[in-house]
Amino acid sequence: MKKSIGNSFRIQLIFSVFGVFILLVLSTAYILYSTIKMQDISDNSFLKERYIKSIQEALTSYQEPLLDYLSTRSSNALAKLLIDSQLLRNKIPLHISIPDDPTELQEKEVYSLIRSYLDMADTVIDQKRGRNITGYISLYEEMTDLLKYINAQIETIGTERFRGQMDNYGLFINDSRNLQLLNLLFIIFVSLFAILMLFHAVEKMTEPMILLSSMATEISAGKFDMEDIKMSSVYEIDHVVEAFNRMKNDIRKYIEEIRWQENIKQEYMQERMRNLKMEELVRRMEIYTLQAQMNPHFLFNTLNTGMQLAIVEGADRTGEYMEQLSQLFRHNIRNKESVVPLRHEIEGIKIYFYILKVRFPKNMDLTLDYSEDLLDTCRVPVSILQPLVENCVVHAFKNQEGQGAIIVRAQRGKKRLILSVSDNGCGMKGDLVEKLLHPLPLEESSSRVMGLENVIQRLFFFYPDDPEVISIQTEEGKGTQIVIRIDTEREPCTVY
Amino acid sequence: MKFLIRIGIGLFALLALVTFSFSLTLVRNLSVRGVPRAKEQLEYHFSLYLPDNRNSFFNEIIKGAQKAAKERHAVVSLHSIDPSRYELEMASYTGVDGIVVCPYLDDDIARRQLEKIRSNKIPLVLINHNIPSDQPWPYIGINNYNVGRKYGAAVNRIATGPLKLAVVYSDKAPGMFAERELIEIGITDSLSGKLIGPIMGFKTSKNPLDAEELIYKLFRTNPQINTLVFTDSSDTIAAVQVLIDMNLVGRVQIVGFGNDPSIIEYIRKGIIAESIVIKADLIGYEAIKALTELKATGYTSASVDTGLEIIDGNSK
Repeated sequence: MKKSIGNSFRIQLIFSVFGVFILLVLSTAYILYSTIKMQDISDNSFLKERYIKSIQEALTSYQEPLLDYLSTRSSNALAKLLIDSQLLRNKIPLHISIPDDPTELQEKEVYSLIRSYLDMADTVIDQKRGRNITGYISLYEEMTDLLKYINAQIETIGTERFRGQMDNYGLFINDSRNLQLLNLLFIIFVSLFAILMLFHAVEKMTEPMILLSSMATEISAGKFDMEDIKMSSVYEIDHVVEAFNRMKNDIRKYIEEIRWQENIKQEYMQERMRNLKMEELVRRMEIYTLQAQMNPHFLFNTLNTGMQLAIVEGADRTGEYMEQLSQLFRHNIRNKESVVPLRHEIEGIKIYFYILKVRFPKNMDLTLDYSEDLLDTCRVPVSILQPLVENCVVHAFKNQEGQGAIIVRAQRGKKRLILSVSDNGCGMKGDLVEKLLHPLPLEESSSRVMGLENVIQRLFFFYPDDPEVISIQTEEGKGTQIVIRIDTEREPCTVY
Repeated sequence: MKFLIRIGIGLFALLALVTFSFSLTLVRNLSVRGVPRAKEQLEYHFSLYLPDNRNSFFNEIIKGAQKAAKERHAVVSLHSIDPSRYELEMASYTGVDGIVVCPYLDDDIARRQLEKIRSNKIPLVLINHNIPSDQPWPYIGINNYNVGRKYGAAVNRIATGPLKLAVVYSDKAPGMFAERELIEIGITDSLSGKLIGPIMGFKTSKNPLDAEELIYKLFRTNPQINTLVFTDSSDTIAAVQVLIDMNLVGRVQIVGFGNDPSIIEYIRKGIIAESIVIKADLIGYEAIKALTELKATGYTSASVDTGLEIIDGNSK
């Protein structure tokens, strides 16, 4: 908001206070005006009486110098007479339009009578000067009668007017009471209006401050997601509000940045922890591998010696078995890669199946089902099939009689390479499957990891965001199928 | 709170405005009450001089005069002819445009005052009673001889035998009393041989109840009277009460004066035979009309007979 005279806090405060003050002053002035007007009206009702009475008094006082002059012919009396006569003539209205009110008609007649009286007085003076004694004496008598009549008429007019005023007085009193009551109500309403206006102005100025205070409390409680305080029409307050809003938004931004950094730090820590876990897992793998590679040369030499001995003694089948066993050891030890072509795994399984067939020639059916084109196009983590088959041999047919079957399949799904190892053994318990698929953290698990568990952990390690990479379908007494689904479009995660 | 304050501001502003406008209107009304309203421009101011007693007859004259004045943009002020009040004496100094006078009984005093008015060149019209003069004033009213003949004709219609007739005059109708001879000549001419004695004349004062006492005395002293003729409506009404009280209804016939509702009711009941009605409003009307003519042209009719009518049981 731009600063202008109109939206200044000081000017608004001055306008509010002075506005109320002026309103009250104007209201009081009106009440004073109406009271004065009422007094004027009351005063004016007696104006005509006072006027006609003043004429009556002037006329009465006119008699004395007239008689004095007629008696003494005093020039002083004559001078006074002439002055009084002129004053009286000036006092009487020259022309009165004909009224229709009886009292005003009577008043009009009175003015005419007075003029006639003054004319007669002029005639009397002339007759006195002309020594017309009989004339001025009789005329003076007539003047006296006329004066009496004039006085009587003035009294009648006064009485009539008074009677009229008596009638009007009741109305006047009633109206003046109503007027005073209305004025009282008016000043009450104006005062209440002015007070509320003042309240309104004060509230307009203090509301943003209260909001500021309330928001400051909220911010101190850690809530930064409130809406900005709206601008008022007061420049100074808006300045504070704007600064406060800016401060609130800045603090919120800083806090969000800190939180973001904290999150990154936590993610980093989690990543680091995961790496540590991986290192642990690798370490275990290495141990497992080392255990598996324990004294390999001794085993190779021994197996070669055994194979030569079998050839020398003519035991060809034993020699062949020894050779296959030797190839299996070599196969397991030779490759140091963590991810290998599917062919490597399938070749290993073929050798392993030969040995198993020798071990279990009658009661074990071993089936290997795969497509040749998958062998070189798909890559899989090393040693994931043999431990599963070994797991079947060791656990699936325990305490079970009859023909056992193990089927290893490799096939292509929509986006995945699907490897499955199934048997018709005793199956697994549900809680065991759950435990295998949701292994304990490394720090809580024992360092001794079995083959199946090892395969599951490695698969989850290579495909951390893919919970469907391995699944186990099993039913007690009917068998187990372990399915590995490897996303062929995605490289396994090998970085730690 | 904010909403309440806004409602309060609006409400009190409205109430303050309403009370302020009412107060202002009241002040204006108070101011205007004393100020005369703009009226039509009146051309003439006439004076009407009448006896002090304002019975229906004179009230009708005033009404007629005021009606004529209104029609001619004039106004009429009312005065008394009572000599003790000097009003007619001072009439020539009042500055009026014309004067209507119903003269009182003393013709000489009246003549002197009327001459004084004439000397001041103020138009003058006489009503109800004429004052003889070398230069007669215009007269508006009735011919009392004709009035007497009308009375006689009315009595003749109701008479069943020889008539002993009394006429009751009144100060309330000075015009008729002043010309009583003419009235009685008119009655006599109309009744010719039916009267068994001279017409007796009596007079009541201005007191409207005076007739009661008079009638009581009349029948005690003159029980042979069988027909009464009145020249004033108040006297007529008062006399009827006496006849009822003395059980003389039917034996004594009354010819009344005026058309007051009571008199009409008595006619309907047959207590009063007939009543003479003078068109008083026409007298007042014609008087103002004559004055206006005098002011405008300087001339008017010397005499206007406004006529009279008779009310009987057959009248509507």
